[in-house]
Amino acid sequence: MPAVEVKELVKDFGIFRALQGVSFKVEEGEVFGLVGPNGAGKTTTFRIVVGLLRPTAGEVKVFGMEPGDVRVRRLISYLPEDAGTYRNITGHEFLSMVARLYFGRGRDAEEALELGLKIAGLGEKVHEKMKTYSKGMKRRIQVARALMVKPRLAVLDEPTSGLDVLQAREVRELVKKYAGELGTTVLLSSHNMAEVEELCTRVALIHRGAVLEQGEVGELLAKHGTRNLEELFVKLVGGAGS
Amino acid sequence: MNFEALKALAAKEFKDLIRDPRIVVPFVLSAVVMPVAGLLIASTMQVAVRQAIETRTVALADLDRSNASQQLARWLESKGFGVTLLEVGETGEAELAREAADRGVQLLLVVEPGFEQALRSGVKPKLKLVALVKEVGMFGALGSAAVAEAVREFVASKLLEGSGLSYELVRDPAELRELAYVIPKGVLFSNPALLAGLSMAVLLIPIILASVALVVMQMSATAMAVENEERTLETLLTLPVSRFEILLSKLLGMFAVSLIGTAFEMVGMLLYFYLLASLPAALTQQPGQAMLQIAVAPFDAAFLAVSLLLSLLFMAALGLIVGALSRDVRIANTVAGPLSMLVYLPAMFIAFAPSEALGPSGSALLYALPVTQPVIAAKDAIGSSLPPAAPAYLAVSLAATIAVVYAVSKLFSLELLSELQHKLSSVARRGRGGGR
Repeated sequence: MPAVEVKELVKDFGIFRALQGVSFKVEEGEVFGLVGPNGAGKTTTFRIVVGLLRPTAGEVKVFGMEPGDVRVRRLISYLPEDAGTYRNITGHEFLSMVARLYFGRGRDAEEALELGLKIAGLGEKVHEKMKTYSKGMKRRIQVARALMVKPRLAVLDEPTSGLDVLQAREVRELVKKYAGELGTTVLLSSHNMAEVEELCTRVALIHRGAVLEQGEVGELLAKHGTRNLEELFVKLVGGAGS
Repeated sequence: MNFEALKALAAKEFKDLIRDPRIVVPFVLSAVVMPVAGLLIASTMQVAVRQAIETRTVALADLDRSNASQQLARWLESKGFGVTLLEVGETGEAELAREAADRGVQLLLVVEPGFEQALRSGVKPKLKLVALVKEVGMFGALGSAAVAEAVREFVASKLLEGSGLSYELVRDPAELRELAYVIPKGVLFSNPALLAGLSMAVLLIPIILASVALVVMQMSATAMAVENEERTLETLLTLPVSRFEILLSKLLGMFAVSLIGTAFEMVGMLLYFYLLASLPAALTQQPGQAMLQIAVAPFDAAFLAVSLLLSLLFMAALGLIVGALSRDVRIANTVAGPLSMLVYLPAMFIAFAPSEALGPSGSALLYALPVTQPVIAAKDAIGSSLPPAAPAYLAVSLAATIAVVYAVSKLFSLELLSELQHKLSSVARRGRGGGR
């Protein structure tokens, strides 16, 4: 059973059609990338996958279940783009709350918190209010929050958006390391093609609400005779008459 | 219901709110401003009282130049006043006042010509007592009462000479005790000051309760708008907790903070009245002490407590709606401002209008609405009594509160919120465009 199966997904916002028949499949254990420029429909797709939005048409299954179901929410973690933090509570308190929400007060919760603190790697700063954190630190806390509960599926929307080169690299390393260690399926989006090449095994290139191409990165590059995803995207978009 | 999750979320909400200066500062201010205001009023009044007591010198312009006017001067001196005689020529009152002011006194007593003749004829003599006001203000002319009383006593004793009547008898000719019986409460007030204090409580307490409710609404609107602004709601809605649990935890956290805020406000109010009550009785009529002595029937007090809790819950839910529909705190505050008038104006009306003015249907409506129920109930519980249908009104208020909480729980959907926010923004844009 695939971790995520999206079939002919359509989403309208009033008269604007944000998604026009998006389809892709994410197998369990893989890191799948949804690649495209801003406004391509990545965030809308992810919001439907995690149950925040309802599709206008089409079908989405997460581990064979409807998105938004509380059982599904126990299996997944979602990291929205630019997700903020609570200003007046500490990173430790935040991670502790998340652990309790998933596991109550038992040993599992303690382990999750330990893992979260390890992934965040903020040292003593984790006991300070999150309003004092830099953007990179806030992102580390959010990544820690998303991975510490050992989700079967982590949906990461632009995980390095707005970060500087070093911060972005740190976050990429975290995702790569812990997703691999924990066996988590990752569905991530990015408009940074190099990032996707580094992290993902398979990708779908999305533009104006439609998937232009999808498959293993190496195979796609070979198929279209391009050196990297950026060249491939430009070639496909040009071919699409854009 | 996942109680562990509920506790964790409510604790997060409480900590995030109680540590937020935007939430806490108004509470602390309300606790500090009221006693400071009380202290300022008390000290100002005490200064005025001291001035009144210390105003012991009066300038006397004797235009009658008679024995009687000289006796009046000696009378005042015998009563402990210093008397400074002014040289009087053809000068008018303004010139006399200026001359008296130059002598550094604060009162000028002008004895008009014909003073002695009037006393002899048994008619009212003419005098003028001019307060020399250094600065126009509330207590600018406070010191004249003692001199006026002494002058009246002198004139009355002269007029009563040979009649066998004393000034004290004429001044207060009957042993008349003024009492008040408050019919609905069945309480007899022997001290008019207590009734005055009760009247003040009937005015103030409903307004205070309305203010508390507004603070709660503002707080929850801000807190919810911050969730939108910081985009934390999006994450929260994907965690393994139900929307109802998220809502309930928010309400519980806010409720706990609002109770602390209410306690701060109450402490501020009590200190305010305590400071006023410490003033001389003649000036304040002891409203503070009277307030503290008010007895509200146990049932009425219990009703008020439950009604206030429901009202706070309702206002918190209302604030959540405002905050949820606002993309940021600025918009939430802009919306909450005018909305608060819907609470504040009825509260003022309830506080100041007599109950008959509300009419049976108006009164029933105000009792049925969770927003106005504790306000009108407080007025009735203190000033008269609760209506027999009070428990039924409480049930209606409970139903309305549950309905609003249910509506808010339905609102906790990113899809619906985005749609509503978009529609509201469009309406606001069209409104701004139409105004140009």
